[in-house]
Amino acid sequence: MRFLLILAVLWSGCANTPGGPAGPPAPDRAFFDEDIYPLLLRDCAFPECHASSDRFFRVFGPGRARLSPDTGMSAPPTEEEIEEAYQRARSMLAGAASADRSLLVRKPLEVDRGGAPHMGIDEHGRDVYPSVDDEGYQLLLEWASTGLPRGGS
Amino acid sequence: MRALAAAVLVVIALAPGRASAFRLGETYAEPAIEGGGGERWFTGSSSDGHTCAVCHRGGEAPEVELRGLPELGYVPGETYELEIPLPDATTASATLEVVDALGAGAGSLSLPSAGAPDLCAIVGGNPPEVAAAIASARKGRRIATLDGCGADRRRVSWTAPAEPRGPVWVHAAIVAADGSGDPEGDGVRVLSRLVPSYGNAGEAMRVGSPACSATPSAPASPSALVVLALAWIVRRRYGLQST
Repeated sequence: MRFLLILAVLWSGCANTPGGPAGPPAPDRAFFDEDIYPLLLRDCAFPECHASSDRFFRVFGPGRARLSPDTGMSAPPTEEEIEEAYQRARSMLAGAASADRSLLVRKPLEVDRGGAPHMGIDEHGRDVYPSVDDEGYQLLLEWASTGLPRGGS
Repeated sequence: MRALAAAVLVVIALAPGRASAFRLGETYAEPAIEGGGGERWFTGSSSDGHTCAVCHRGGEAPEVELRGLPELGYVPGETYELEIPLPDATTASATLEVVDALGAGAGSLSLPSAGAPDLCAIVGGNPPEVAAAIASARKGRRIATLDGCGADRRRVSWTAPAEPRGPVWVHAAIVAADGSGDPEGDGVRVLSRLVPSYGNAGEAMRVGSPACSATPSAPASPSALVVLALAWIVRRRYGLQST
């Protein structure tokens, strides 16, 4: 009887109850497929950057690097590639109180504009998005805001 | 019939190799979702940021130089024939653009007007294609794309701005592909050269970079570029002379 009681307590502790640890946000998937995946392909998905299995945040697709070596370089994006990019991107929102504070949104932004440190600075020492006015930044923020409160910027 | 098929295979086998993924100029403007550049040209200019080195890697950087830049500074409205001699014409490709201190296009680029255009090698008896193309982008940028297709000359004409606009930067990124069809094993050379306006060689000194730097490092920080642009505007407006 005592064993069953302990088991019941442990089980209740593992259950995904409201107020317990939450998974990453689940921002809009159709928005991601339509606008964010192409944006990440354009700005992030290079073999020396985030089209690499060495990185946590990774985006694979046509003209860059492929998730599967069996996929041709120019073949359309596979469902697995888009799904992988979506899951990685939403994971970059985890733990943030608001969209504008998430790593996904802050990493490609200049540090002196509120961005987070990022190895992806260019030949001129600049990050991907020079300011919060950049349309790429705004698009990322808009998408992240479908899974988190937008925040102040 | 068998002989014809064999001949076709031989022609294909002997065709010049091309640099991988972005071998054709129009690829840079195509949507990223289709494998294109999404209007990134990877020149390394301050308006583009990325260079070809974000994809191509692992190979030896080609020994190349950029010829035809005015050594004493550009004369407004003057046209200069720029040339990038490449060690291996069949597998090397390049992009090139000229921007001002704020990253806007400076002057215009066009295919050479004198003589025949640079042509790709003849493949399969077809008429040779032109190896270079000019694309337009936002901020008045003009980008020359030079295909790796067997042409033995890579030239482009640059006409300097009609009015002095301070120093300009010529950016070129050259890929020497290994012909594997992927970016691995390819070498990249990035050239970044500062060209002052004629009679203002001091412009080059003020941004802390030699006039003909061939290093891939930045000619100046963005803040330095802004300061330089403001100084030039003040000088133009109030007629201050440099000492």
